Amino acid sequence: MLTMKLAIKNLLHSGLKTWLNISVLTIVFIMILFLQGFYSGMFNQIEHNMIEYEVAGGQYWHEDYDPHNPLSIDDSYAKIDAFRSAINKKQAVPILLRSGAMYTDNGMRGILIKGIDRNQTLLNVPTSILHENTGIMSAYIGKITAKQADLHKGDMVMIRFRDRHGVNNAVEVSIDSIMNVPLQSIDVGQIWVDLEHLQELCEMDGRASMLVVDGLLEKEIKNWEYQGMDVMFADLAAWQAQEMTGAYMMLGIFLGLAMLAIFDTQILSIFRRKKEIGTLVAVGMRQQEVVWLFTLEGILVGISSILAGSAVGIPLLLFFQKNGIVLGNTIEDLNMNIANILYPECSWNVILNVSIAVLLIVAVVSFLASKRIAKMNIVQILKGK
Amino acid sequence: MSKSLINIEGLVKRFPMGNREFTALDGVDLNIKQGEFSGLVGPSGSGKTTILNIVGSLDIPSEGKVEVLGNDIATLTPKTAAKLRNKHIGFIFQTYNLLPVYTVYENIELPLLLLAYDKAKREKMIMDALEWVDLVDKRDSRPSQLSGGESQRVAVARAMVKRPEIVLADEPTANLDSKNSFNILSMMENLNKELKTTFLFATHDEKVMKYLRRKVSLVDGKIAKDERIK
Repeated sequence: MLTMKLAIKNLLHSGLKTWLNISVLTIVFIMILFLQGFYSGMFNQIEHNMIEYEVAGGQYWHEDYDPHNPLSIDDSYAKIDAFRSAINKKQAVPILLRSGAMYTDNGMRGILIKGIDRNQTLLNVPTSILHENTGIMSAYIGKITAKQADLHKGDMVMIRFRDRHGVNNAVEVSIDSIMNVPLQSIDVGQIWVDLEHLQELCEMDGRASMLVVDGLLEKEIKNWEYQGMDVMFADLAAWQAQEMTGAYMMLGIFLGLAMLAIFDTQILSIFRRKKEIGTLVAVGMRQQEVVWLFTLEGILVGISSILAGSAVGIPLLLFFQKNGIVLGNTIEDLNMNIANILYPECSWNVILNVSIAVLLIVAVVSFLASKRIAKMNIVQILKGK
Repeated sequence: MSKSLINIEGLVKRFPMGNREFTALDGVDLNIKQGEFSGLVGPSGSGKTTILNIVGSLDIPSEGKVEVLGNDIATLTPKTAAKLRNKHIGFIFQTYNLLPVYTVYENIELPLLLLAYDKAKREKMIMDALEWVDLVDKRDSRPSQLSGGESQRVAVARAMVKRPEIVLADEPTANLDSKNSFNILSMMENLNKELKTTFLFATHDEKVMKYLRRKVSLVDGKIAKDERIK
């Protein structure tokens, strides 16, 4: 208690260096909070986007379908009679995949043709603009594909694909909508058309390659395998782990620099205050108690920084969590699955973890610097040596 | 007859100096009784401060025995040595050694805080000490706002506030002018008489020597003369 009293008093009356230390550590604390908030917000946003536009509550894949093997696409389809009830209840969305090519004024490009149920409401994609077969096939594409192929709403393109028997087929398609969805996995190199029309052209009535569902169906369905959210988010999780490693390294560098400053200041402070150390021992403190006093002063620097950092950083983070941070159009060029407004996340868990980490590191650094007091020769330092 | 507070027998203190050893004290025998106002005098390097440091349990003897209030200095643990200093010994240094961030009041309060006295008791003792040194009006000043004489009076108050049996004063007037030296020494003499506190000085200042009732002269780490002054 006495040591704490003395430490607080010393801190309140300490010089510019200590306040500079607190400022540096406060800035580091805020930076860490924001970095964590950005990453957390970004990955949550991507996850949210994926659920809203692509995966809902999971997917059923045809047993032969392998998203990492393009050769499996054309042969992975089966009847979807077992899902009929779920489809009618809008709890499942069948999708038929065909690999093909798209011919535009700018030339030919490989494309994945996706037939989707135009009456679905499970995914927030513009399927309502698709219409039944009127001779010209109705389609929508994503904004990245539109940009890459220089296509606009109302443009006509030709798509070529193989039907069920492997026979080439081609059809003229009208681009009726450019989908503005921040999710490249349903955009890049893809064209979305009406399922029934595509089934008809491929002679694949009542068949699909996958179904997006709002959850696992009660019974097991032959030829179909349920892919839960863990599979859906596996790539995202791997990416997140990779990004977080980089982020933690950056945090380590920030913290390392701050700790170096604290260590340096503590050592300087011990050197500057050696007469004070001698006096404290002379009036009856043990050297070990003086070590604890100096360590406590360091810890108080950490606590002050956390308090100051929280006072500034948390309201700021909460503000951006509510209003978002406009990243500008450049973010779209990065083809990341996020919108150009990022909503960082202010999680109390993160704040607590960052605070504990900062405090622990400050305590260790302060102790390491202060422990040399225990080895000091009091007689010598009282002489000012 | 007054009891013996400090008993030194055959004290030898050596310090390493490069590859060799320097003998600062070479077989010192000394006995200080309660209420003495005595001083170790001699030129620089004669071993005055070394004796004070050992008696104050800041250092230990290389050989010989030093007993302070019945405690063998060589066998004290850091904890018991700190307790001895905290409770029974007051230090006065040449350079005052006041803590710069504390007020006069807080500087004097420090030993009492370590003794864990309650607030009311602390306040009473601090005010008494401030009256002894005539600095009541400076209680809220910081050391940087005090003159040299005032700073040393605060140091005396800090050493005396806990009513220790022994006060060790290392060149207390070295940084003071004649007038302030006179004031400080008169004050310490009064406290010695009033409170029966034992004062042991280390000095080569003639002004201090005039006040001493016992003068122990040291030359090259040995006692050359031990005289009592009437």
